[in-house]
Parts: sequence; C-alpha cells; structure tokens
Amino acid sequence: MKSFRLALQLLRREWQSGELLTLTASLILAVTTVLTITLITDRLTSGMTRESAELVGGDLVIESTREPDAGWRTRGSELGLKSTTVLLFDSVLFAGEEMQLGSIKAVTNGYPLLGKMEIKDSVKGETFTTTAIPAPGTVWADPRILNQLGIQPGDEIIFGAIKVKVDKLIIFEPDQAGSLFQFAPRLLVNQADLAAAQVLGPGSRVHYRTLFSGTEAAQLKIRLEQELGVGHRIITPNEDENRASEALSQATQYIRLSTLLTIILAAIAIALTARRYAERHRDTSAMLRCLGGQQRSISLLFSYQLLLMTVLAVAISAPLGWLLHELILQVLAPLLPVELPPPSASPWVTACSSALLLMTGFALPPLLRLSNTPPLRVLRKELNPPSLSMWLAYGLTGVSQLVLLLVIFEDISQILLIMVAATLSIAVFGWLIFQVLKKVRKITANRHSLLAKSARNLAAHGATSTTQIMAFSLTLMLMLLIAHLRGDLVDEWRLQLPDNAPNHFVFNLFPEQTEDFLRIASQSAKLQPLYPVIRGRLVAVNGDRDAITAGGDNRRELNFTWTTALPKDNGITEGQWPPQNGEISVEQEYAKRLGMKLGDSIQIDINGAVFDVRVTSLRSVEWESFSPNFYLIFSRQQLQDMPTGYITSFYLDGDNRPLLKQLNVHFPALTIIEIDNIIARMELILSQVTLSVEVILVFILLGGFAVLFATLQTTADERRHEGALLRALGASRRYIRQAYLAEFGLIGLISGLIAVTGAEALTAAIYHKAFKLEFSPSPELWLLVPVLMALVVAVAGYTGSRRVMEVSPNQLLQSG
Amino acid sequence: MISTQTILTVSSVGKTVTTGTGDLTILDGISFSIKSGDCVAIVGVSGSGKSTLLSLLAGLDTPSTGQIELSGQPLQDLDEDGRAKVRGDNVGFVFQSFHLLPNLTALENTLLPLEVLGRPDEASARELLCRVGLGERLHHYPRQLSGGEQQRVAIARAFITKPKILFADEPTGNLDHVTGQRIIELLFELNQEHDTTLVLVTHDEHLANRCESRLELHAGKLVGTP
Repeated sequence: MKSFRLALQLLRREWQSGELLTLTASLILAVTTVLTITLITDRLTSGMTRESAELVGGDLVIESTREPDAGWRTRGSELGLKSTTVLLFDSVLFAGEEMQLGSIKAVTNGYPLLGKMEIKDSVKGETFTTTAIPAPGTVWADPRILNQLGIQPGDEIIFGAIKVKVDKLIIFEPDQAGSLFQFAPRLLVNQADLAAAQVLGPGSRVHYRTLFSGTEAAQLKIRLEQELGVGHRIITPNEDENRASEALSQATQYIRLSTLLTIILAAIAIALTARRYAERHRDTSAMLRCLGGQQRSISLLFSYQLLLMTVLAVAISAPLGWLLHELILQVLAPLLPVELPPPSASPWVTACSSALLLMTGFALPPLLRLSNTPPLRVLRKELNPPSLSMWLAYGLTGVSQLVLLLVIFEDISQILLIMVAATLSIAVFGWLIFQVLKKVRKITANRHSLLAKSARNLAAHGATSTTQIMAFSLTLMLMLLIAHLRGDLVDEWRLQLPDNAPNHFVFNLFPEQTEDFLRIASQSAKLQPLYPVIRGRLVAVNGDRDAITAGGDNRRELNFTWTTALPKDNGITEGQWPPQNGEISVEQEYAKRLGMKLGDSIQIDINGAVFDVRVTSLRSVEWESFSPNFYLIFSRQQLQDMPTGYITSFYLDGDNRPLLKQLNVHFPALTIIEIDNIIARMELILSQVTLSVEVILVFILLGGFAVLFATLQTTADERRHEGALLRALGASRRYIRQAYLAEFGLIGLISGLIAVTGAEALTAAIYHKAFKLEFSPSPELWLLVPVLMALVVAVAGYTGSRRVMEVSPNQLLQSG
Repeated sequence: MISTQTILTVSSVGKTVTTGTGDLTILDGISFSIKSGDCVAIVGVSGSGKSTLLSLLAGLDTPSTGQIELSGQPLQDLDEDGRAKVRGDNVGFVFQSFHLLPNLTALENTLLPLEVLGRPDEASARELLCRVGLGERLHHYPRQLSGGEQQRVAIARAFITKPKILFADEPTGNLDHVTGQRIIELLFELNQEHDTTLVLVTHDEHLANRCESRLELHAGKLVGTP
C-alpha cells in the first residue's frame, strides 16, 4: 500500500470536506500562539535586557578602585566584545570667582557602548542624541554646573591645570545606574585631557568602570570571575539591584508560564479533535483493512496525514505568527524606547518542535489506535478498535510533553512540579466528578423538573460529561490563573514604584539650616525624613583589616547616619533595632560582602577618631526607593558630636519647580539632584513589561475558545442523534431548547466552580514558590466565574446544537 | 465456464462467543467446499449465523474451531496482516450498507482497493464505472448519489481488483425492489464477465434461486449443502 500517496489523497479530500478543519485550526492556533509569544518575548526580553544593560552601561561592567588590568579588554575583544573604560572622580571646577564640585566622567571614543547621550547646544536649544564624545579641549556639562558657575555654553572653565570649553549641555546619559547616587553634577571630559589637567595623582579617589558589550559577555564574566582580585566588582544588567531588572525577571517567569498554559490549552483542543477525527475514521480504517491494507500501512497512512497537517499548520502559522508579532510590536512601538533587536532562531525552532510534539503527543495516540480497527466492523458496526496500551498512549503524551517543556524552558524542575501537581489534581478531580455524577443520577431518578432531568442526562453520559467538565474547568482555571497573576504582578510593580516616588535628592545641608529648609521645602514638596550624614571609613572587622579590602571596599569613605526610627523601606532581618551607644545596624548585602555577622566588632575611623562598635542588627534595604539609605546606621550618642551635613529626598511636581531656585538662593551650598530622568526611564520599562504581559492574555483567550469549540464538537454528533430521536418521539423544539440550555448551563456552572477553586489554590502555590509574593484570595470570583461560565457554555453549546431543531428528525437519524 | 478447482474449503468450523450468561455457539460443525467460478447463496432466518459465516469465509474474523482454506491459504493460521494480504489478493466485497468513503468521489472510491495494493490504475476504474452505468458520475461524492448508484460504485470497487472470489452481504437489503433487481442483474453479469466465484448472503429467495447452489443455515448448523 502506497501509504503516502493515499494519505495525500485522503487528506486532500477530507480537507475539501472540512473534516480536518478543527484539528488543523487548533494546531495552527497553537503554533501561531507559540511562535508569536516566543518571537515577542525573545525580542522584548533582549530589548529589555538591552535597556537594562544601558542603565548599567554594558552587558558586563567591572567596577574597580584600581587601574583595570589591560588584559581584561584584550580577553573581551578575543570574544568579540566591544569595550571601553570610563574614569569617575570628583574635581572642583572654577569660572571667575565661582567654584563648583563636579562629578567628572572621563571617556574615550567608543563611549557610550550602549544607548545614546542626549545633549543640546544651548539652554533653550533642541535636545538631540549622539554617540560622540567631547573633543579634546572641550567638555559637556550638566546645566547645573553652568548655573552654579554663572556661565553660558561656549564659555571656558578651569578643570585642574587647564582651561576647557563647555561645548554641550548634558540632558541624559545612558549609564546612570552606576552613578545614581553621585551627587555632584556631571562633567563629561575626554580622557586625552586628563594628563594635561593633572587632576589625577597618586592617592586620587578614582572609580574605574570597564564596560563590555556583546553576546559573549556572560562567557567573559565566567573567565574573569576567577581571577578578579581585591577591589573589583562585576556588574551585569540582570544582577544590578534595580527594580526594572526584578520586574523583568518576574515578567519573564510569567510569560513562560503563559506560554506553557497556552500550549496546554492547544494540546487539549488537539487531543479532543484528534479523538473525534479518529472516531469518525473507524469505518475508513475497517474498510481499508477489509480491502487488504496492512496494520503498518494504516498506521503509516495516519502518521503521514498528521505529518502533512503539521507541515501545513507550520506553513500557515509561520507568516501568521510573524505578522501577529509585528502587529503587536507596532502597537507597543510608542512605548518601546529602543529598536528591538531581530529575533534569534530559537522561536522558530520552538514553534516547529511544538507543532511536531503536540501532534505526536496528543493526536497520534488515538490515530494509531485506528490501525487496530477490526475489519469485521464493516459487518458489525459496534466493533471498535481495542484501546492502545496505556504505556504507549500515555507514554507518548508524557514523553512528548517533557521534550516540549525542555525545548521551551531549559530549566524545567519548577514547571515539572506544577505539571505533576496538575496531572494529579486532574485525576482526582476527574474521579470526583465521575462519582458525583453517579450520585446525581440516583438522586434525580424520580424527579421531573427540567434541572433534574438535565442533571440526570448529564449523569447518564458520565464519561463524556466528565471529560467536558474537566476540559472546561481546566481551560478556565488556566485562564483565571493567568489573569490573576497578571493583575497582581502589575499591581505589585506599581506598589514598588509609587506615583510620588521622590524625584530630587538634597545634600550639603548644614545642621543650622535644617529648620529653615523644612519650612520652605515642605510648602510645595513631599519630603522624606532628613538624615544626618557623617563621612567616615571602615578600618577593620574583628580586628582584621584585610576583611575590608577583601570585601572590595578598599577603605573608601562611606556615608554614616544615626536615627532611632527605622527608615520606611528598611526591614530588620536579624538582631535588635535601634542601635544603642557602641552599636551599629548594617545593610545585609553589605555585611555579607564584608563577611560581617551579628556581634562582630567593627573599627570605624571618622576624621581620625577611631573607635569600635558592635553589629547588633542587619537590615534589608530597597535601594531604588529613591529615599536616602545607608549601609551603616549608628546611635545618636555615637555620632552627635561629629561634623554633620544633612541629606534627604523629596517629590516635586512640575508646577512647583520654582522651589528649586528658591532653595538655591536660600542655601547656596545646597546640592540638589534631579532624578526624574531615571525614574521616567524605569517607568517606561515597567509599562513595557506590563503591556507585554497583557498581550499574552489574548492568546490564552484564543486557546480557551479552541478548547470550548473542540469540546462541544466531540459530543455534537451524539447530541444531534439524541435530539433527533427525542423529536421523533414527539418532543417540542421548546423542550429540546430548554433541555440543552439547562444541560450546558449545568456543565458551565460545575466547571466554573472547579476552575475557581483550582485557580485560587494554584495561584497561592505559584505566588509562594515562583514569585515569592503574598497571596490574597478574591471572593468575588467565586460567585462571578461559575455564573458567567454557565451563561457562556449554555449559549455556545446551544448555538452549536441548534441544527437539531432546524432539520427534520428523519434526516438526522439517517445521517447519524 | 466450468471449473473444477476448489477455491474455498471449510472443515468442521465452529464459532463460539463469550457473553455475560456464558458461551454462545453461533456456528457449529460447518463443512463444505466451493469450486472456483461457482455461485453460492447462504440463506437462513435472522440470527441463524449467515453473516458470521460470511465474515469467517472472507477472513474478516477467525473460527473458534475448524479450518478454512481460501485460495490455498489456511486462514486460521494467519495473523491479521496475513489475512489482510489474502483478502487484498483474492477477495472482493459488496455490503448491504455500501461502505463507501464519504469524502472520496465515485472514481476515487472505485480506485481505493488498487491504491491499497499499491497499483492504482485509473483507466480501469473509469471503464468499470462506465460499465456499471456511472460514466457521467465519476466525480460525484456518495452523498450526491442515490442508494442504487452507491451500490453500483461498491460493485465497481469490488471487481476492480479482479478478485477470485466475491462476498456479498445482503447486497439488495438497503434498496427498493426495482433497484435491487437491477443491482442483482449487474452483479451476475459482472460475475460472468470476470469469471468470479460469488458467495452471497441473502434473505431474498428470488436472489438465492439464481445461484447454482445454496447453503442453508439453521441455528448455526448447515441444513443444505452445495
């Protein structure tokens, strides 16, 4: 038997008859969904990683207080990475009588590695982007430097031993994350001028940032990590302690979960339609065997059919998925600050393998069973093919699912746990529903209300009803789960970045000015608490001086403070708050880096006064809350006699900007940092992530519809036949209509109840396991979902079965 | 044409099935043989075991006891694929309910057995369909054909492989009297033309009388022999 030729012929004919439409449509939906989602996530994730990398300055950054090893950059270029080194230090700038501390960033050609600078020629000029840097002899300056020094663009300032021309004004610099808490305004200079300026000598406090960008950054990280000595710190976009990267990783988790759920939905639809297809082809199979077809040929025939359908589905899905993903990205375009990189090959591989695996796992088992159809069925229609061996049927499904998971998610341990739990709960739920239906049949035996009759009819088809209820409830459960998680994730992000997050930092406020400052500033700004700032160094931990250098801290000057009120975004993770005299509270990550524990003795040096304190608490700190935060917090007694400045942050809306000028006039030494740019950037990233998460819901919804359609289709023939029989026995159309509505409504109601129970339980579990978030149940869902589901299934089911009432019972009975 | 070669030998065949209330004997101790080119009717009342016997003779099912040799092949010793090969090489079928594939045209349905055997020959199929009077309806689907027309397609399909033996199960059972008569005429004509052995199960006395011999079954036992 030439199976391929015959498969092609049968497939062509069956395609024309519409027989294969549901199965192919489900597969197309699945593949399109997988492709669209993976294309979007692939590009958005690399786009978002890029964005996050821009904040950091590169795909890999080595921060050091010593001159970087020239070998690092050589190693980087061997791996095809672009690199540049940036020097950061403070220097006093002069213009005439005026002076201002500037935060100098010295760069060479090649900076910025990622993103673009935003600059303008004059205060009122147009902002434009550039990847150039200041020419030697010129500098680009933060407008505040010009303000403080009373100069205009084009004027000269004194930078160390040389005069340089201020050429451009800096509006935005891409790699800000590293300098978020750099308080002095920025001056961008060309490294070529450093030698002449003589600003750097032995003992100068310079931070070196060696930036790398390229796809092999992770590889370089692995190589360098081993050999980096004291005083160096590696930063990568995803490790940077910022809210954007946290949101990104949560979103990625969510999107992966959504992809998994879409695939499950499509798999259910495919399994259901394939089963129906197989059932409708038993006669064909029996006939072929009767005509001499061998079992193997018939298996091959149906396998070829599946393969052809898979190829067809992929051929249709590929352009469809591409178009859809482009369309969605177009919609998102205004929110995408960067050009998204082109997709990698992985979405295509994932989509094709998903198609093949879905067909192998869910459509092949029922079709393979067809080859065992007894040829005697041509004479005795009641003969059905024996069931496939459990091992073969479930083995195929199980193995293909596992491979599918491996293809889409590299690490599947967590997902596997969810899958096992889901399979177990499906089995338990299925058994429970079946048992309940059996009871219902008994209870309703002598009742004659419409509801009782519908319930009895539902129970009479125990296995079919259980399958339908399971399919509906599982689908709905997954959809609820995904909607639930999305809502809560987005809310979570909003909470993390409140609307009125401080957008200005203030420092260099003297103790005698605090009262005046509070009076003036509180009129129009939303102030955070004022914190005293005392500069000092750590000398030793438990008498060990090396611990400080080993921790990469290199005895730099730190900002210390004292307070008795625990800052709002801090939490005590160990020990007692507040610190008493002779005690300190240490930020937990910092403590870990320097190897400090509760009870350790720390030696501190403040302006030459050296003393010991004991660690009595460890704190967690939300660094990006834009409130002043500190590694070390002391007691008041300890620091009150030390030279103190004050620091705070506040939120100021656009209308109240004159306050800044007012503050500058009243407190000339005061430094105000505007961090609006950084916040805006972060909000953009978050909104982007939120939108991408919302887009996913559409696909889940489509998957849900596919299942709804497929499920109703599976019993459509049977229902038509029954309906025709009832009509032949004299039932009115009204009677049948009511019976259908009640029966489908009941299925919807039960499915809704199960779905909402399962969704709430799973959400709680996933919150706990995957996202580590708090879970709060939603009681309104318990009422809303079952009722809505009853309505939807009743209407959809009734619409699908209307044909029973439109044609004559005789015609239906004959065709059935 | 008179032939002396035996195509089908049945020796002490019995068929027993297990039911909820115990074993049920459907056929018991059936023995006969049919010569090539013969035309044999299997008759009997409903439930006498006619269709079961037909399914055993055609190798669609296996006997519980006894032997059946079809075209020299012991059917009871073959596995399902072996029996399928014997059927493909030797047997044609005509059923009461036609059993045409709904998604294939008349031509494609006729061609199906040759497709299964891997030697499609469209010209023969066209010729055969013209012979049964459906030359104008080659590309019609079963649902577009009347019952009689569908049975003609089934007959064309049965003869396309030039089978040595043709089994027909109540071939007129689903047709009105006039159409049934025409179908019988056609069946016998083609049987003559192709020199095929014909074994048919029927209730129809008129049809049974047209056969050279008859096997009468009563409660699973043979009461008349060919």
